[in-house]
Amino acid sequence: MNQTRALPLLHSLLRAVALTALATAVAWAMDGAYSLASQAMAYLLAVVFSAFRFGRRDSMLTAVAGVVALNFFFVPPRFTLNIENADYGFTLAALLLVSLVVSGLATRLKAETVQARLRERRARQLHALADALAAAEDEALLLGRSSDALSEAFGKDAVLLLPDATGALKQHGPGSLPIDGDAAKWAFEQRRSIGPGTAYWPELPRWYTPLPGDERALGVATVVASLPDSPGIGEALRHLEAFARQIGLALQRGQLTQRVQAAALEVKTESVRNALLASISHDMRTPLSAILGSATTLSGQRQYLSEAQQQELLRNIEDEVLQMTATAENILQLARLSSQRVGLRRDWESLGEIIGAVVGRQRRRGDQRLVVRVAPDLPLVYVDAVLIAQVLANLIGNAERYAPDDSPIEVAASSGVGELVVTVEDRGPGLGGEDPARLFGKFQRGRDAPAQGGAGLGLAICKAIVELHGGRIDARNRDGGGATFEFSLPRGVDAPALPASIGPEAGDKR
Amino acid sequence: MSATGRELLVIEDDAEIRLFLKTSLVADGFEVFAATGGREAQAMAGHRQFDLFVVDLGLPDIDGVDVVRFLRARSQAPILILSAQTDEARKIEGLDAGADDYIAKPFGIGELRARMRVALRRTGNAAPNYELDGLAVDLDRRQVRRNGREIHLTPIEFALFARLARSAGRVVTHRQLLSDVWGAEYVEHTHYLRIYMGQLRAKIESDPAVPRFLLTDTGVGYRLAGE
Repeated sequence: MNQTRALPLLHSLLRAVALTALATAVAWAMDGAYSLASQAMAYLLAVVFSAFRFGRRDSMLTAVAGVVALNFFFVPPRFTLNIENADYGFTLAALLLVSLVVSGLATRLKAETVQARLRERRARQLHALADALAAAEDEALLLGRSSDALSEAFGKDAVLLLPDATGALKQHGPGSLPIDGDAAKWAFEQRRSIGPGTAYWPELPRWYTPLPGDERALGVATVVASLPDSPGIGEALRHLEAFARQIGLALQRGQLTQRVQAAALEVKTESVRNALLASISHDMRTPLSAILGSATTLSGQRQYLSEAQQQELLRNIEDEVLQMTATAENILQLARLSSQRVGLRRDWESLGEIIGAVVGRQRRRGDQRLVVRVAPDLPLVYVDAVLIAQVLANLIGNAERYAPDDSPIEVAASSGVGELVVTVEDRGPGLGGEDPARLFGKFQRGRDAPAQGGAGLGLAICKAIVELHGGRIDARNRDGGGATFEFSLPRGVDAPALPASIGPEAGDKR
Repeated sequence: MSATGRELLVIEDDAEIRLFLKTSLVADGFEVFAATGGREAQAMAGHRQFDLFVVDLGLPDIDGVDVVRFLRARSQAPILILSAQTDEARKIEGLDAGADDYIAKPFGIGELRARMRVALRRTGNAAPNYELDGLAVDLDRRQVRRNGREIHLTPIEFALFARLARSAGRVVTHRQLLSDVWGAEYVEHTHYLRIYMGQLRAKIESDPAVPRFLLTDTGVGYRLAGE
């Protein structure tokens, strides 16, 4: 302790002697041409310089040494410390007094300048931190920038500690520093700064300051503290707390945003689920009503019905069951598609063949409106045939519901640039002003949907299936009236070629 | 249908479907037995020779595919499986385990009768020839005629067509076709089938885009129309 105190004093003394020697040299040069008062000014300059450059202790020592040197070298009788007359005595006394006053004023001025600069720098740091945090999009970025700013202001050992899922404080970012876990925990829980210059744990080498949130602390910032008796310690601590406040605010804002977004997502998921349930319920209830109606009519009023009427009711039941079966298939497929584990069962398939199978089934069920145009020599595509067949069945079923009885429904497949394109076109009422994106989007049915319904779920599943295959699906009004539904499938690589020499064609396997 | 005296075992856990099958098939002249699960079916099949089995794949106690395997190991009688619409993988498993054909639920009685007719014909007489709507095949003489006119097929095309004709009216899975026509090492090469089926349809069908004879069971296999 003594040694550390003695050393600066020795340095001050040496600097005072050096400055005094310099002033003496200047005064010596002035000797003869200038008055003693002017020579005294040289010493006064040395004091002012010392006060600004080195502080109060240096300038005091310089003042005393200067008065002694002036007396010794220039006040007659020269080279003695005696004073010849009272006039010189007054000069010396005045020099000493003025030196001491100037020294005091200059030192204070200097300290204030330093303080002002420090405050300005700190204000700039806070401002920069606020800007950086405002622009941080997520918590990781926010914490990274906070750490950087803390390190820049308080030295690179600045650390942020954040509670993990269990509430234990964990250091953000890498590195292992001598962090006092108990101190951090205390600061976190009590929401008070601790360390030198505070009322708590002043013997710690670091400050621990909570990052304040509304209800509780959100974390702790810790930096190496100033020395316990250094003059600016209070301000430094307040600066740290200002940092912590800003970081806490930003953290809280981020967490709040996250909660709001999560809540919004939940509302959206919920509303999609509700739309889906409403759509399923509608698509099931409509055929069920028709079936129950027809069946109860048949069982209760059979005797009043003609043979033809009875046949019509029975036929009605069959049709509605097929309708419900399609809906059930769609629901099942939707469930299958939304569970991530089930992948596509892709194979090399012929689009023409899939179209032929779907159209053939519809024709056997009695719809003679379907017309097929498949371009010759379409390449095979690598798709899940069952799902693509379902897309076609849904689009054709949709067209069948809207198209007038005597108008054709045209199903076509052709080759586009890098893709195969399938269209289903009818001469029904068209889309009207309906937005195609909405049509495929949220289990919607077109505005002018006829009562038999069913399109809502089907189109949403078409979109899901086509997009799973990397294709796109679209709907538009058809020239001359009606609707065109179109989907594409990327061609990807071509199917492996048939080797010329396999199987019974070449050898004799039969 | 001349089914008098034929004995049929329905293996189905759903009471309504059992009732509906029993009612309509008894009216057709079958003697209909019913099992509510796989174990019961195995016990019944051990005591009696049935002429036809109808097996639901979704049984509560034993996997329906295992029941098919069990029955096929003991009996040559036709087996029809009942399965959900969209479950192609299970249908294929059942068919490859020895079932003759499948019917997707829900089904009409007309559809079931047609499948049963075709399946029973298989055991009745193994006629090597096929004739339907002007399409005639003589398997021994390797001749295919459409409305009296001979159609020339390449050896592979004929092999494929003949394989389907031998199971006329019944589905043949991709795997079975590839294995029987090209060989066991080609069972993954489904693109061969697509290409040769396309060629066959172009030669045989009047409207190859919507075939009348060479039908596609999407995701399962092909069948030559039976009636």
